[in-house]
Amino acid sequence: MAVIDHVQCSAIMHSPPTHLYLDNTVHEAIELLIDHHMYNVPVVDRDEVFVGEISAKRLTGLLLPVSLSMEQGLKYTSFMRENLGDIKQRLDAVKSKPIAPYIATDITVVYPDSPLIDALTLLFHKYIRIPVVNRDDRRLVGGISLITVLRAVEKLE
Amino acid sequence: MMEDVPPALLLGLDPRWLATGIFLLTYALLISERVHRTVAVMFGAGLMILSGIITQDDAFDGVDFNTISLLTGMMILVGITQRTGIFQFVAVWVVKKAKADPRGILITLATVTAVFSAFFDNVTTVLLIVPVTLLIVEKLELSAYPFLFAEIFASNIGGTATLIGDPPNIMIGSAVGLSFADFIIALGPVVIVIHLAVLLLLYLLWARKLESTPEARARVMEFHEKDTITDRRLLRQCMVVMALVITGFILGEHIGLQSGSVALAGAGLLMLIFTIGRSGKEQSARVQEILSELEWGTIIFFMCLFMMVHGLRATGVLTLIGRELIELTGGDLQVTTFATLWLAAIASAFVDNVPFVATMIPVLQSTADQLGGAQEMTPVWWALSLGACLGGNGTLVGATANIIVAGFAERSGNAISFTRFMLLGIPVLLISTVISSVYLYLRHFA
Repeated sequence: MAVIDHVQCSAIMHSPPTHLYLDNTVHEAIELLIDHHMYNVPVVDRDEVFVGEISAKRLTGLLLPVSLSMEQGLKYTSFMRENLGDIKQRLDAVKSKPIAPYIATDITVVYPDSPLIDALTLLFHKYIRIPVVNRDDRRLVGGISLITVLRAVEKLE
Repeated sequence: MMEDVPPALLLGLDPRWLATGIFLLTYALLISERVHRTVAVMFGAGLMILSGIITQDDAFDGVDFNTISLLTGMMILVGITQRTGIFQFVAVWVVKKAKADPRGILITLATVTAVFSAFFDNVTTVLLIVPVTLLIVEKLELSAYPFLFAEIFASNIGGTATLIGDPPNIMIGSAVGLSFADFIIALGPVVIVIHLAVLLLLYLLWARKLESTPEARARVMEFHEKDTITDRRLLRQCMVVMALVITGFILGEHIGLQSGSVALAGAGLLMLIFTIGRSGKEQSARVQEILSELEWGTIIFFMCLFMMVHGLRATGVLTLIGRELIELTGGDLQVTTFATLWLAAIASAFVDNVPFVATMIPVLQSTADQLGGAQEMTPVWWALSLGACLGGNGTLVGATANIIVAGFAERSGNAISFTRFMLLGIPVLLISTVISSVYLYLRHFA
């Protein structure tokens, strides 16, 4: 019987991914997002262990009043009147704080030996980029996005 | 009423002990909060049937479908009405009427919460009012605590005033035949007094600290309350249907129409208005959306709770407890009324008031003969209602609305601990119960 060669994430993942450290500030996170045109950035501790992601959605939440960004918060806000100064004031209040409280920790990851189809399914359903971490120590070793997969497929041609 | 011991009891055990054991086990699960309350009573109701204490038919006979219909109907009415933005409109409108003065806001928002809680369920009310409050407090650069505490207390106090304000009232009204008008007339005045007393307490406690700058107040005054309304046509339709439902509640008792039927009919009418004239696909989507927002867990909780209590009643256990109660109170109506009030208030501060009231109703009903007949017992029912509803203010876990507000508080960086809440909750509970005691005495025994 012929053995089918299943492609694993390690075969196509890009590495090392751009990332932030837990003790980086909100200001540094914003600069990275702007400079790299990224919408979500992996976050690691100083041992390079993956701990979560900071996303554009989370950072947008910091620009809003708490009652709008919180779970079960206000949905209809057209009665409010705000200016850029109000938004800047809220951003200034958190700019120098570490990103730790603002990261999402419930991020699904894949492992280098995970089948590529797992990563592709996650990209389809939920994420823009999937972090790849070591199975044993959860150190961040790579990332997979749609672009990564398309480039790999193009190489075949 | 089934008083005979049914056949085929599990292992031939004494049905009274078996039913009591199942009931206590379920109560232990409820108190432990390690099992979801709906799962706990489903488990208990299942055991009542599987052990042979009651049959499936008996179990369904025990369900008070008037209560279930009233709960479901009101959930649908609230679910559609809240889409119009009316709750936020009223909240912003009263804040502007108070000129965005923090002390005025404390009083007006608490009063709005109390009024809404009297006609809609407390959880929905705080879910809609608290986010607006947090926004206003943030703009005024004030601590959220005074406002959140005031709204918690107001929701539980306001809910006490009407038949539909709090589930214990729905159960009492349905079981005993007390109407919407009966509740408003009997409990409305005392609820107003308690609300004012609690507001005065909070005012004295916090008024000095509630200062904000003219600039901050000006930011709030810039809010356009009219823009909170998302659908004016639907709002008008909701108001008309709600007025019809309230009228139905008031007039229903004279034409033999139960409140559950009125609420379901109103819900049906509003669903019709909400969906008519749209494509089949759109209608289907709207109906699905409304029905998916119903609190099915709560509805199943009530059904299974009724089944479980019916099992206990069928074996005669509740009659025995009723006899013991009469022994303790000497069959004196006044003593029984005040004992019920204080017991309900203290118990409801720590355990869910719904199972407590569901158990107490048949216990108290069994004492009617010793207390001079069902007609004479009215003060006891008001005592049970006041105690069970107002008791929720005692601790953070006393009512679901408290837990919901505590969740908001935590997410907004103003966490409310159990102890912090109790330091104010217990005095509020004591003030409310003392006022209720005086009121019941003056109204029924002086």
